[in-house]
Amino acid sequence: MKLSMGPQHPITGHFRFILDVDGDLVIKLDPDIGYTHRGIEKLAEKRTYLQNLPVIERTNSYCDSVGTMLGYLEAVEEILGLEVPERGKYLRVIAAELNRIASHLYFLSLGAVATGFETMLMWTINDRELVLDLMERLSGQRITYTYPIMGGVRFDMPDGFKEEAIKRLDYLEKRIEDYYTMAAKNHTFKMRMMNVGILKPSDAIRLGIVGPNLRASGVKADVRKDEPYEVYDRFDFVIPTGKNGDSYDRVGMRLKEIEQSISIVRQAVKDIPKGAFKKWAPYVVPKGEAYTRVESARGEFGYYLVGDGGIKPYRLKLSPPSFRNLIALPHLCRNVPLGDVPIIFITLDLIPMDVDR
Amino acid sequence: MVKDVIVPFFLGFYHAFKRTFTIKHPFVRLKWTERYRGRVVLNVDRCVSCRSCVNICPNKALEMVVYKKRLLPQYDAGRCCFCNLCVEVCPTMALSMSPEVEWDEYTRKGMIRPPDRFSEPIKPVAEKTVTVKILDKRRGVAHR
Amino acid sequence: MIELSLAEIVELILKVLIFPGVAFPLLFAVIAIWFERKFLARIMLRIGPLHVGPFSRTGLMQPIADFIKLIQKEIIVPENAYKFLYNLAPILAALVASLSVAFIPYAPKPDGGYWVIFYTPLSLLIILAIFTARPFIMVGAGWASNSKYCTIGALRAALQLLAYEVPIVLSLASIVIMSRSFDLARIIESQSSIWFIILQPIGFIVILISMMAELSRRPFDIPMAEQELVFGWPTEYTGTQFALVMVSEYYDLCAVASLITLFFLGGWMGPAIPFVPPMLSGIIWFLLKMAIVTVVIIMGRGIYPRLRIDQLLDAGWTVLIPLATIQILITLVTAQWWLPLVGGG
Repeated sequence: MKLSMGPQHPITGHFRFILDVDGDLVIKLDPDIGYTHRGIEKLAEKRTYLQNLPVIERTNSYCDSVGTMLGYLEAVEEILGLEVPERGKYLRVIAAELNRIASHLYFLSLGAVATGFETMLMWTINDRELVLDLMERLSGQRITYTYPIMGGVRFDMPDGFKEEAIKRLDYLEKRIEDYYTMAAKNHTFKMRMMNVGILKPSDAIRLGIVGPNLRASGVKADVRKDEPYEVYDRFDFVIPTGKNGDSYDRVGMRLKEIEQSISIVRQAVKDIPKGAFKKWAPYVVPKGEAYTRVESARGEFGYYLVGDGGIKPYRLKLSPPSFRNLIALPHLCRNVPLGDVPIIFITLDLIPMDVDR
Repeated sequence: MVKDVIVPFFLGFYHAFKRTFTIKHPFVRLKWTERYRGRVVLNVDRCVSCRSCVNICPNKALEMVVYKKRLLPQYDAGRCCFCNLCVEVCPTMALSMSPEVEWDEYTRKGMIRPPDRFSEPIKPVAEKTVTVKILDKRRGVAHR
Repeated sequence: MIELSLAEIVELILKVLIFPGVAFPLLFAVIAIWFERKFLARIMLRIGPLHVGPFSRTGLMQPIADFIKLIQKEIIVPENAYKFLYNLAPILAALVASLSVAFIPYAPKPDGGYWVIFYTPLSLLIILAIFTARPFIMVGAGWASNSKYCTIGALRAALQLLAYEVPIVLSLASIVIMSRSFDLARIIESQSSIWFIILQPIGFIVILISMMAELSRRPFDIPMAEQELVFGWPTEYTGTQFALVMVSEYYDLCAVASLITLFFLGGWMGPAIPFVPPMLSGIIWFLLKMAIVTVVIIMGRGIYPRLRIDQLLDAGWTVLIPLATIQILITLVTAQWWLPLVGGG
């Protein structure tokens, strides 16, 4: 029987899947994407480099907007040959890591909803509010910041930000113990998530999976350590890896990454130098092309920018991580029970807006 | 295995006696910081009609119209994305951000604000506003 | 002709209309819905219903407001549905659920009888028969709605409910062995010196889990609310029919909570409360124990995620049935130690 989990569904968000179901067993899964396509790459050709910032940020607005924008800014700065001042780089790292914490908390809430666990949904969304408040003090908005800009950041850190940030991050660290007790060590949660959707490392490398999904299968690959971009080479953090590559490892990976991000923000807030945080960028970008990649919360985000000497880009190509990870879904959903499909889908962390752009 | 089943039960029961995270919204509201980017407000005396804001807006939400023998910008609230680039680029600081977030209209045409509505002052919010003050692991987060 | 005196007629009317007849399960459903929403909201660090109600900001009248809103909505019948069964199923669900309350004794009367609507010496068997009739209503409603989601939901409801009846019957067998009668009142009377929860702890756990699965409460609520299939077998119901389906779930909860306190927690047994007549004291103890069991069953919704259908059937067939059988064996083997403890006759 052909079942269609349509674009409006309690669990898939704005995706459409066409399932081939036989009783309780899913034989085949076909994703049907394109419901939220907005043509961002074409819109970017009609606006100047500065006006493109809100547009590109909304590729992935409610989860990880700073990580989405950093790559574009690095590409423009590479063509221009502009060097960002030190304080600007530290502030960019603080914003990116806080955004990563917020994005992983949102992932945990969705992962709980996939199994019908409403308590974890409410707890993680509550704690995400604390991080969004911090970002509001820094930039003025809670979700779509438009905070990093060519040549630095837009606003400086306000007074009282350091103490407030350290207070909230301490509270968050203690709350993560509660999450371990309630979810990661809950017998029913383990029963639901262990040995579901096992991705072998050789398969992951062959299919081109990126991000925490790749690290959960045991492959150590992270852009922040392989090709450090901003000031990531000055901080002291480890890259956690998983053992089995099942859904339980993918959830545990994000919990450990939250802890690492908290330690990065603490180090950055302590070591931040004084000075200018913004350098004026010229309006006209010379001819040239650049390819950059950054590590957003979902994986590696690639940008290819071609400038032709005018004020508008000639071509911008985005290569989002969710689009790369989408190929894992039909690969993993062969001959699984129907109850496993939401879990595999949610733990791969696919955002429809990223896939469709 | 038995510990994994029993311990979440008591942890959940303990949470029923903590403070709630949500506040009773219509009677009590959250306080925004000064930097909050809500509605854009025009100061009519300072505008010099230089069109910088119209040129930089990514979504074409601002447009110059003739109003009382002057050329002033008109604001389309339906297209604004609250990036506040217009506020930063205005040379005379005639535009400013304000923490007003609660407004609504009945029709799409009503969202276009001519300069008289563009420059009306913000309405005050409810009497009692709170923010997160106390972060305590044992008893929960308190808004005061 | 049965001749009833005036006192007996008044008593019968009181029993049928107020307690434990029509009004009591309805009141229990209203209070249980309010309590579930408020208590689960507190576990999730939220507030719950807030505005509707007499005292400031407690939301006590929220279930009644929901009921009034649901009654005045339009009843939509899908075009390809089998209309007779589709319209009959919610009414049957509510009726069958509240039928078991007629056989449960809630207190002893001072002159030797029991406060029960219909007294038979075989009330346990009748209640088991009523429980067996429930899956057919769900399957009928799911099939009559004629949509893919309802079909899959009805299939899962049938699998789950029929699989979990076996542990219930086996555990009740060991209770019957211990109290030596099928009469619910006798089962309570034989717990006058020690409650059965101390003598049969394994049976208590088996019946608690199996009853939660029979009621379709989380973590066993695969037939109803699930994330993959929008709402399971009652997806197509709106208006009054939806209200009846929701209320029948809480009628079932009332019956199950009463049964669990009957079998294991001693029913109306308890130290006498001063200044009240002994029948009222028995009723108060019964309601108190029912409340504790209801809180435990309701909390399961907030604490555990949902199980998959094959893990559920696994747990039922390979874990609970052996445990219930072991309970029977233990009861039979240790007979000489508990025989003097069990009172009654």
